[in-house]
Amino acid sequence: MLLLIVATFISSCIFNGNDDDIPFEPFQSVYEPIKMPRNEFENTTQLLPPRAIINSGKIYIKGHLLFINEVNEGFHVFNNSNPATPENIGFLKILVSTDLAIKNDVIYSNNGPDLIAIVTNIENMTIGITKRVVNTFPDAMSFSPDGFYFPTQENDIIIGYQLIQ
Amino acid sequence: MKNYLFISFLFLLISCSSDSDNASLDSSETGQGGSLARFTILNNYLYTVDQSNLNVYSLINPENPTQVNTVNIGFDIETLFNYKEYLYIGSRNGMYIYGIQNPEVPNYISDVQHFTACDPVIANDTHAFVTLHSNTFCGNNINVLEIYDITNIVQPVLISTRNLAQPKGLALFNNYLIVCDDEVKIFDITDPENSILVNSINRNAFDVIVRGNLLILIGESGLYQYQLDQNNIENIEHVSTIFI
Repeated sequence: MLLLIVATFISSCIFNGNDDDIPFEPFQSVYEPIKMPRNEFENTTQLLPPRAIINSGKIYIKGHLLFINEVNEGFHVFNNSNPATPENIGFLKILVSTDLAIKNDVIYSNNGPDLIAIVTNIENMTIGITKRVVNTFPDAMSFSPDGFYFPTQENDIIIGYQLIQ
Repeated sequence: MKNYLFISFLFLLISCSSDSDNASLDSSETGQGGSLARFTILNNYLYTVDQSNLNVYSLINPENPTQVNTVNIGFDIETLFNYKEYLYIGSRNGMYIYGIQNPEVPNYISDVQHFTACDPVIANDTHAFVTLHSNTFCGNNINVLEIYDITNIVQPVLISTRNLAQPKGLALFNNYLIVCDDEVKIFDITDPENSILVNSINRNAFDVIVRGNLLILIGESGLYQYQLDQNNIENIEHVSTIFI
């Protein structure tokens, strides 16, 4: 009797929530990766004029600067010296980025499978990547939205997914 | 030319930020993220987590970060939080605590396992606070705030479980715990075994940063800033909203 109760309990756990109307599990993704050659990918990071926030991600604050991630696209930069009137001052485009951290004046961010260190250079008035740790997050974009695995390749960086036409 | 101007502006802001006016609150040269962060800097090291690994980078030469270690933690790692010489790692299966007394070699201290759910974690000297939320992506129907006594760091003890709607990011403000739930809830945790809901902010947010008295909330529809009052938690003043 006890066994029966236990068995009923277990089966109710197993089947609980699995009664969806999906008739079968697809065996391959309905998505395909959007890829970019590495040499092109490594030249996509730049500082751009401010733009509107569309898909907000994580936030980070350093001194008077407030960063809001645009998921997988980069970071909106706000001057928050007066929190009553935060001012949108630029967009730091970093493809496939979700996180950053700053120490002194160096910004560290994930850039697809890589970690990059960025500094702003007043002399030539550009931002520069001072270091790229290649493939340190190997599976950064390896999973499609429906959970299929696309292994990272050396020179083809996955920057997103699109539905197979 | 306009681009150049604001690039220099950005540079100036970054260079100035370390000597900001509230130095006591922003004592380090490092910035601050929310509880959902996967990056954290302690002294001369950057720690990151991806799905399964904790990576360590030396920042001794700040412009030239160098990977010095990678530690396999488990599966579905989601968040990384540093408090003093410990790293608190949230995964869909549990919370892991690593010691970084030797900053290049994080060593396993303890973990707690729970039902599959998404979970950021934060901590103070005596307690760790974990929110578990689940949706179609995360699996189970579990939405709780868990509080662990970590006085004995090698053996965290669950002392409180509280049902919530769908808790996500969280932050501490003195003896108050701020949790992004269906609204932003503020709990008095003076007695962590019996947290008391003392106030709430009617905003939908997924992460939060508390910096001094400033509360910053980020949601899908906006970034909201509030002024907190450490002497009166009832007194919360809206400062600004960036609509998204």
